Amino acid sequence: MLKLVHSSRPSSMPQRTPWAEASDRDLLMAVRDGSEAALDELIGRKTKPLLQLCQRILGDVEEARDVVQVTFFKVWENRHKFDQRWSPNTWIYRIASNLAIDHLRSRKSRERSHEPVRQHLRQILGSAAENDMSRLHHGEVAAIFRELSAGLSEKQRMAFLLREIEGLSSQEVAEILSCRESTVRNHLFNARRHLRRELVRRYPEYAAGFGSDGPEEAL
Amino acid sequence: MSCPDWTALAAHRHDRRGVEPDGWQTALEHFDSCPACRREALAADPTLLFRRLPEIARTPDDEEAEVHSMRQAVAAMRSASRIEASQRSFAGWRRWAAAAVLALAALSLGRDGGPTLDRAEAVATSSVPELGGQPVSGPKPPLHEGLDLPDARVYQVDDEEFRVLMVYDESFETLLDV
Repeated sequence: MLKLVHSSRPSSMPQRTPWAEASDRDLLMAVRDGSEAALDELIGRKTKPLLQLCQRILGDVEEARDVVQVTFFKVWENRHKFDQRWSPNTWIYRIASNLAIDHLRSRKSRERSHEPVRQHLRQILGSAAENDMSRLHHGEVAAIFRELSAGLSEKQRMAFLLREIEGLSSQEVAEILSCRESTVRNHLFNARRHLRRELVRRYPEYAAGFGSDGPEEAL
Repeated sequence: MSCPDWTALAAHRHDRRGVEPDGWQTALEHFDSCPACRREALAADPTLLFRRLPEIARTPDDEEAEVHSMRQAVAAMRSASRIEASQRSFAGWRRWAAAAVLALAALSLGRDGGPTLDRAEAVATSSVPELGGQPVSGPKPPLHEGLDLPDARVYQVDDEEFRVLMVYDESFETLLDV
């Protein structure tokens, strides 16, 4: 993977590009014609959502960055394949998802036990007031998700994240995962069932609905 | 809006193989903004916990720096890809050149009944290359540069109007590697 060794800080005021007003579709059409400025604009728009998605899939921000870099590179390399009838988001998410799935597969063999994560969480939570939701931070939820979702197939994990967390429609998820909507629903059903069962088994205190302390900060 | 019936909604999600109940999106929006019914909602469907998965919250400056780094990294990957492509093209040219040498050697075989080939040792030790095992007669041609390449091969192809001399040695391959 290519790593950026040095990067100078950009100027504090972001510059508006000629493509700032263009739609995503127009941008991709310009990229298809070889416009590097359009690619830069596309990177400006999609870096954050793609990083977020990949971070949720992979559970690691550095790995997510690598995957997003390769995603944009693949967009450029495969720009001639983009058809303007396609949804730009779906096309880009599809590339990112496939790369993230590949990354997950290659990582599986070196995946270590999640027991330390669990112990760490219990330590944090055990020291706080019993079942205090305000102690449960985003990073801890991410750690729990990473632990429990290790038991999901890549497609199940992707379907759950894209549909339940990113809020994409079943049709969009089906296009991204290259399967039928009914298959997406199956993946979703199985993913939810697994996550629910494992939450109840491993973290019953959360599955029971948590305590009512500090509701303003909870979730 | 009053709090939704989470038990009924969750039961629907558990039983209908992934099909979401009517009003589910509205219920989720309610869930995000109403602490009062969260406990009930999580008890009914614990997977709602994962709505708290982290979002990337950065300052505009951080975001701009992230985008800037991403652009640079992608540009570097594209440059690396271009260089690799040109190397592939160069390697193709080298194969073509090697094929040309072989073709010329074959041509020489057909014409003279045998290869006009010698070891470059002769070139290195003598100021005049001996080709085809026979010394070149007449005045010695000028030697521009000696060769110390014991495994080099020298090919000569004579035609009516011109003579082609080719020197081949494996070490040239490394010289061509960029």
